[in-house]
Amino acid sequence: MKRFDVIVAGGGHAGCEAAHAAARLGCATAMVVTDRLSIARMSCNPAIGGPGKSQIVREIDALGGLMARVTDRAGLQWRTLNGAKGAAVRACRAQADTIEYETAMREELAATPNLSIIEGTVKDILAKDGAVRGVLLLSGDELAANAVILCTGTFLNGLLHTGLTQTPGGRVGEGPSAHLSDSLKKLGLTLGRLKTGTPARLHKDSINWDAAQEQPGDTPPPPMSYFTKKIGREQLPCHITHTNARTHEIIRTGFGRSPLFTGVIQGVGPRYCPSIEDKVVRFPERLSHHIFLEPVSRHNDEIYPNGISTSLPEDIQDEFLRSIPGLEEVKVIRYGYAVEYDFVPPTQTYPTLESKAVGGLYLAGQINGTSGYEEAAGQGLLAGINAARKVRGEEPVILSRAESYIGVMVDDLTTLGTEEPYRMFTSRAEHRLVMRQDNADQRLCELGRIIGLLREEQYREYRERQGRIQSLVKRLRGEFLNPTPETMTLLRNSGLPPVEMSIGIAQYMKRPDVALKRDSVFGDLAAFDDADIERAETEIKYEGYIARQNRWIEQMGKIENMPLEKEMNYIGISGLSVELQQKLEKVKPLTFGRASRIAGMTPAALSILMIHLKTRGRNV
Amino acid sequence: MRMNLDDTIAAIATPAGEGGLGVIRVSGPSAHRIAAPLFFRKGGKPGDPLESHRLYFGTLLGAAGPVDEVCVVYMRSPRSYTRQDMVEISCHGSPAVLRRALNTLLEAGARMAEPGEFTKRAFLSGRIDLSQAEGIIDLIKARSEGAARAAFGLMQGGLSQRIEAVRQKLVWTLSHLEASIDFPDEEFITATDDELRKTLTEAARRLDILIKSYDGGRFLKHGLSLAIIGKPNAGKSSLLNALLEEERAIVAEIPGTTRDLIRAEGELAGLKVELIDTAGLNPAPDEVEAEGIRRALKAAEGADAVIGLFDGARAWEESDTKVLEVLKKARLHLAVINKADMPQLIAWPDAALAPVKISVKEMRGLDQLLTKIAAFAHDAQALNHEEPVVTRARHREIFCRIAGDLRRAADEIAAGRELAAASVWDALEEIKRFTGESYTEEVLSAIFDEFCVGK
Repeated sequence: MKRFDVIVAGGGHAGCEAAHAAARLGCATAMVVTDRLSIARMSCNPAIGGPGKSQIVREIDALGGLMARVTDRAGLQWRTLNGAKGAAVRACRAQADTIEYETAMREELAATPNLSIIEGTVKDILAKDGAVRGVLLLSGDELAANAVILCTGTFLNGLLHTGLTQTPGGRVGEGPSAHLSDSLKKLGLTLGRLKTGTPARLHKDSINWDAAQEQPGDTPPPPMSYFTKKIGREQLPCHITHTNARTHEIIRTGFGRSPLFTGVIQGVGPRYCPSIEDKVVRFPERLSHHIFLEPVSRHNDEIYPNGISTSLPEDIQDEFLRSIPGLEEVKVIRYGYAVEYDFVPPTQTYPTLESKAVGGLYLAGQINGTSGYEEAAGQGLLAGINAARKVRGEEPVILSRAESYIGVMVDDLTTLGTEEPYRMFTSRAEHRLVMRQDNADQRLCELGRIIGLLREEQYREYRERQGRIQSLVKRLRGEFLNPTPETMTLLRNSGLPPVEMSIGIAQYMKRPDVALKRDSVFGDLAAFDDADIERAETEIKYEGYIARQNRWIEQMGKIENMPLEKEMNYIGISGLSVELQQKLEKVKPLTFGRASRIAGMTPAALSILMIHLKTRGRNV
Repeated sequence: MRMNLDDTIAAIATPAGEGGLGVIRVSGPSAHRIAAPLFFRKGGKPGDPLESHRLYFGTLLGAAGPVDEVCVVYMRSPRSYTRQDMVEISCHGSPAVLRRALNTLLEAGARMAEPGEFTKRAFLSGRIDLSQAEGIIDLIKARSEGAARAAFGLMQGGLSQRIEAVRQKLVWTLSHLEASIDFPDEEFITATDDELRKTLTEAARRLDILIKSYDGGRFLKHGLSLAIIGKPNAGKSSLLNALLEEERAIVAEIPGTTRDLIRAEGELAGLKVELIDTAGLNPAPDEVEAEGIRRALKAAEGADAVIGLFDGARAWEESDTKVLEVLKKARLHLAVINKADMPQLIAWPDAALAPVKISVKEMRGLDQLLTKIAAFAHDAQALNHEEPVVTRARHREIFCRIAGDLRRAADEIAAGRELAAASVWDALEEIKRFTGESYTEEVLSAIFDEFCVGK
């Protein structure tokens, strides 16, 4: 029997980060995948980033993970979204070349010491006395380990639907993981069922591109990773087209054979990413929905039509696609489908991502009810770090809601659970203004270094950047603008508003119509790159808001971090409703703050809990 | 402060002292189990189960025999004041009987309630929000019709409803702000910056109205102090007596009869009022009068409102100029010309300040005067029942903060929707403080500690 410290089941976006992190932290790690060529596959849209998600990708980067770096190596378009809505919600999104992405990720993993990739399928989790011991493969081989991380994606009892045709599988052309669900149930975990879907893939040469509107990338392309100096490659454009009334009519003719509307699909799908048939039903007043035509790779002819995921029968898919401008002659490479899969409702998991039922068993990605590559990768990284720390006998890492989106996500999942595939939004983060994509390094690089994942040279680079930004902020805070003729000319020439009297530059910068520009009144900025300048500008402009949020975080911190014991018994606490007693017993929140976010928690219930905590010592 | 809802509490709910009736309240899961065996109803036997919401007549039994003839009503959870099982026992209003009855219940397993604990349970069980609980306290303590009406409105959720309307506007605004932030690629139409600004400003204006009602609301709750000033023999003491409908101050033809302040409480136009009669502002006072005038001026300065009383039957004099000057320094002031029953010799010098003309002697014009006094308390419609009135400093502070957050949000929309969103989130947090959805122990204790036992 082969022995490892950590076994990672699955090679998707969660699995890659988990395996890389555990191995880099010195653990002998095995990644078990059915097919090594499917590692890091983008099963759905070929994009990484966007609001809420780019923050996660940057956090992964700052902690020493892979996703941002690999995206920059393998991208084919980069854009900044929400440019005018504020620094904290500004988000980078990259279109990935999915083939290059897989290759680049395989190379990263191959270059990771202590990591073996084993082809096989995990059939059973081996556990003894409530602790994991290893896994049993379908081949009959056993692998021993002290920690196992499950990153099964949509493969747990996966079932694909196109029309009323069903095929067991986790992804088109790949069989499901049929036994693992039973194994989890035997270990005492409860399973739920979710659904997601994907659109057809179209042949590039069958599209009339003149009928679609071009959407180019930004110049220069904004990198995803802090450690990418420059992206030198040529970018590919995306295109936009629209459905129309005719399209919607055709879609309606397929409802009788839709697995979604005939009750065949039981799993709950994501409300924020509905299939086109769902949109047609829920928004009958909308006569048109837009579609982004996104290139999948430089090395193949596939186009991903974003916005029309569907599980309608193939003939209906053909027909409605051809009613769309530009797609009149379209050739379908692969039809769209829905996939149903098992997940482990995540209130059964600690915020370390270790399951409560089995010590050393970690869960990450869609198995926790999330959706999205970035969400999966963030969890994979955290699970990998904690699995390694457990093996090495170190304290687990828990990320807080006040320092990272990953912390927000994991807290939401493990205290509230989720009824539908969970996607990150910036509005889920109550400390949004202090958790920006531009300062994830400031928030997490120190931690990345302490954990041991962030490389020495990356850390050094971070420190240098921090030094530059701080010196710039300090300089700007110390300087004044006087309404001299030279200054006024300079302001006018750089399109900045005039000043009436002597004013501190920092004060001037807080005006909404003022931007920190090169070759103007802000002095020599040659030593700073664009990212430095943007960061310094935000630090100054947002000073007041940041101080306000920090005060709030500090105030809440006392209650937020008041610890609750894992062994605490909630059943029978007088004054608490039976329902809340059971919820608390199930979630076993680690802090008072987490308890406060459990659904149905009232101020009264929290007071009762607080009193119970304070008086418990005396009563015993 | 106790947060335990599991034990059963009891207390005397009516005021101490003799009365026709005295009521004991019991609340908690064991209310029926404790009270029913102690009650021997006509035609039944002790311990017979009581039907909910039915009034029974019978005898309350103590350990040493019958305590009193009583009426008992059992209110089954959740249809009760606290949403718990409750029993109310109406005894004869003798302190000794009530004490014995209460002891009987305590011996049978009830715990003595703490101040405000019944209302606290109503709040903790979610039957009322925090502002409604505050309304109950105010209602119990109300000293005038207007105060009672404002408190009743608060208890009924009048303010809560206004704030709920504001909250819904804010949720709408936030949903538009957040949707445009989190779904930049979607083409659904979110409200324009102008529409959002308009909604925010409009909500802030609604709060302004509530904030403005606070002065009036404060007078409703705590009463209005009203100083009457004027030259000697203008009829200040007669006016005080007329307003109070009693001979409170000595009235004489002799100028300077009132030498010290006379304070008298009464209710005018549904408003609790403290009237202050002052010494006449004599231009050439003797030593005692001079001290009286000093006190009069001080009283005018400290009062919530001032009436300047002028003598219509005499020509304008230097002392009238002094009175007018003092009068106009008061934020709330009213000029009144007395002796309208006599030939008018006064020439009114101030076109900007219209005086009310009255005759105390013939009781003419007093209604008009009362209306004006009432208006002090509710510029903002307090006594017409439409608009809720803010009577508590806590509410006023919260509303000021919310209005500030919303105005800031309106300004911030152009600079970046995320900043506007942050300010709206702040406002929503403040609303939670108002309703008690989010509170600290101190706030709760401070509020419920205002209660007497049994309320």
